[in-house]
Amino acid sequence: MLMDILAFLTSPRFIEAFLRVIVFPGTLFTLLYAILAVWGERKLHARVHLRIGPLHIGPIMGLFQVIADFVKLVQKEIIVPRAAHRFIYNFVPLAAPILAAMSFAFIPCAPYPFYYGRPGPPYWVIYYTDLSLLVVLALFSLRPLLMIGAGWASNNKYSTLGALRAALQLFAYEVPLIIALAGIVIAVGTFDLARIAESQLVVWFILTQPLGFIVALIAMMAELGRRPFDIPLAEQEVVFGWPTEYTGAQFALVMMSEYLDLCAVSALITILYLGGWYGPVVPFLPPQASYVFWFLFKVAVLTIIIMLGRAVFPRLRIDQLLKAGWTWLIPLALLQVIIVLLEVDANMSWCIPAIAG
Amino acid sequence: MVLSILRPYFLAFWHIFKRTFTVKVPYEVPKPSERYRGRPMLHMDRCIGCGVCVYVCPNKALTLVTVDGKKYPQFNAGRCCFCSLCADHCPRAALTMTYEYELSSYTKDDLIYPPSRLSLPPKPLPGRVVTVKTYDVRRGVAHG
Repeated sequence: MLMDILAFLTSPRFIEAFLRVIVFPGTLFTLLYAILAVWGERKLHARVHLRIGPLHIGPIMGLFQVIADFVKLVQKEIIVPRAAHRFIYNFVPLAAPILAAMSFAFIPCAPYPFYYGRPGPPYWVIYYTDLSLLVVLALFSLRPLLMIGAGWASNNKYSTLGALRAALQLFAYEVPLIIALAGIVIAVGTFDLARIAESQLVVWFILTQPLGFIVALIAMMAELGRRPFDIPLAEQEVVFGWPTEYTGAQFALVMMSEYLDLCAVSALITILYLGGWYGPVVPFLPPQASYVFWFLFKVAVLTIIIMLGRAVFPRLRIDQLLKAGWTWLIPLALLQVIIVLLEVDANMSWCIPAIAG
Repeated sequence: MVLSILRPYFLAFWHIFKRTFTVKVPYEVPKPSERYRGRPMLHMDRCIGCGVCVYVCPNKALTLVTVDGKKYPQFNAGRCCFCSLCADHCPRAALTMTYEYELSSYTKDDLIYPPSRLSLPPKPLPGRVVTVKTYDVRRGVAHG
């Protein structure tokens, strides 16, 4: 019995699954990304404001400031409001980071590195399915549900207002996002993220579908709820929006989920529009490592672009966002889809069911 | 419209490589200007004990005390507003303002500077002194 367990634990299959779930696209990578992203964001904004930023803690440039903040938050008391719905209130901070990290189970990060001819999909992904884009989008659209639940369960007018704003914001970004991604799905003919990335070996989709990229980037930024679109969290209007009542460790978890979401969004746009793991050959690196390098590099660049938006833009009003979503983003996304349809089939045979129907 | 969105992006991006306006404060301190108004310093050999400084002090930070039969001002750092009126009105220039600005202490008694302590020269600055470029002849006050 014991030998069987040992044999299972040392089998290459288990070690590989362990590496996937715990190390690279899984837990350790996402947590490390969250820590580095918070630190990098503080440093980046400080530089944009001509400040220095975190300085003291850690070996260089205040690198451990985030860990110190986390330790401080964990030490604090967890306060549950007297009239709150206790189950939902305590459930949301646990569910939010899990939900955000779960999309990494379906996002492929590289081709399979060790050998070819092994059964199974040749991609480095935790769970392979050919509907991965749909699954990731479904996980993304579950997040506003948690926001609304937390806002309602807190029994606080500011949280409720923030939750309602989150629900309203959903209308602005969800439709153009899905229409823009439809362009890619039509062009490739599959929902499989790995095959979408593989189809960009020669030309990235950012070059063939620039409109779709812009719409998807803006919609994803709105989905993250970061600065130009942080309407559900607007500090000056509703104190901190839906997570107003959270303290200590729960607040840390809510914030962490935001950065895990940022990671997932950057990875998804990298796969969809920036050519996934393809890039020029990096000197002194084996090709398998260069795939990972290019994936991480593109994710980092996208993260910096999304973060700079917070330093640059003022917050939109909710009606401005809705207006932009319905009068600019949806027409642009539809235009992109029509262009893709013309590229795919210039005979316009796709018109026939529309006319006949 | 696209330009109006992209321009601030590039501006913010260039700011990343500009020189910062702040300094790494415990390790570096900005160079105080020549006429900086920090803690006043008493030159006991010049003081004649006339009491003008005590008279003009708006916050009553200075009081006259007698040391060895001569009158000198005693300074309370907790009350001082660093207006420099005492130094301006001193007929013998026995009170001058120094660059020392780290005056906080753990007890209220520590804030009181009797004449013997007030006449000590200011402590050296707590870190490497760096010059912050704040004024540019061409641009006026320059940030970064």
